[in-house]
Amino acid sequence: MTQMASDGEERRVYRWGMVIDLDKCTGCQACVVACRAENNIPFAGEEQAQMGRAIFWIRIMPVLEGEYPRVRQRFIPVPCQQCDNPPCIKVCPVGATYKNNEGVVSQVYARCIGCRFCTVACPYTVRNFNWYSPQWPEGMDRYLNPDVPVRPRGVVEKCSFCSQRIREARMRAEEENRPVRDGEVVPACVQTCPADAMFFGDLNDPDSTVSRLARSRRAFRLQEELGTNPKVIYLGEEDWDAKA
Amino acid sequence: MREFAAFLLGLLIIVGGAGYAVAYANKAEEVVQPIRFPHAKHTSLVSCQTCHTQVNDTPHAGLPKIATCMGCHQADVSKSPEAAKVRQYSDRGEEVPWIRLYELADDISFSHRFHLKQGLDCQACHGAIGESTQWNTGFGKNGTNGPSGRDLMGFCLACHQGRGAATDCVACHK
Repeated sequence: MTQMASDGEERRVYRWGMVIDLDKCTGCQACVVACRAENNIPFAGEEQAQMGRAIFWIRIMPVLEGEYPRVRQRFIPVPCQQCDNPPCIKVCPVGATYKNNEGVVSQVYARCIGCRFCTVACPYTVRNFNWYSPQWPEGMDRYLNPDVPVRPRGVVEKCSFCSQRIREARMRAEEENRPVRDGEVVPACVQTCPADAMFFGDLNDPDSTVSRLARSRRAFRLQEELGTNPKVIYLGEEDWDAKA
Repeated sequence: MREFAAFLLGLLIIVGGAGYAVAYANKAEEVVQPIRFPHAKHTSLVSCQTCHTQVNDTPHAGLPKIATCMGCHQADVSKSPEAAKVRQYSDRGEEVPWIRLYELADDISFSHRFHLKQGLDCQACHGAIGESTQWNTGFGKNGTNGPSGRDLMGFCLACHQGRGAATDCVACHK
């Protein structure tokens, strides 16, 4: 898909999406750890975590089925679903969150007033509030990612689809005067997944890995009946969503 | 009497405040570099990239290292006493503590290399700093002759909109 820029040049418009293969996911939490390291996510501490204040941009949702002794444990990694029709944006009174032209729902920390309407509106509960100034164990503050800002107290944050990595890939492609290649943008979670269960790419490109996988008969999206139209697509052999 | 005292106090606050604001604003604009460096003299001989060596390869243009200066100033190419300071720094094994004139906010992702590859020249953002004959006369912090620190985003956006470049927040903001 292309779009005409003002200088008459045709420019490719990307629509970033993610595919997570639940039949491959082992629930190992590597994506969760990689995401925290990449995106400078602070530690809440034991006490605050018990109050549900720990911040996760991606979390593993466990699904327990059956009754003892016939139980089955399954896992669903849940990042921001990057809805095409995001409920969070509609409730923000200050325009601190918006969907950009590449379909990524972004958070403008400097505009956020911390009302948390978006956190409540999100049906996937993937938005997190910074209750305190961010803290890291001593020494770890030297390992912060300079490409990602440290969020102050009192703002909401969420998965950005690693927008810093998208930006870098897009700039590299523009420098070389070519479109971003399939598989060139790799978010931290996708990069680290040891089971190769996660994929990322351009849904506007019908030949991309994510587009191909999204056409699979195993493909479904979370809470599809809400009409949020997420760009995170899950693959599963069974009807996961109905049972979850 | 009381009203008069209150009036005097009020006057003092207003005049004092204004005076402080003016003094503070001027202080913020004035930059005294360790060496009285005339850009014009250098740009008539070499290109910007000769001294700002990293500009084509990295996001940052870089301030010149003493070794770069000494490439020319090893010999007494200029009879200026200011140029002699370069050799003094070098003899002491020190870098010249240049003061950065242009600073971006922490949450901005900006690449010099990328913008140069898009066909922009240095002057598009840095104005006529290359023509300064005095040591940065008229070139304050965040360049009075380039983008202003107060409305830097407006300066960037005007160009981005005009050229059809990205205007999405996360295209530049981290």
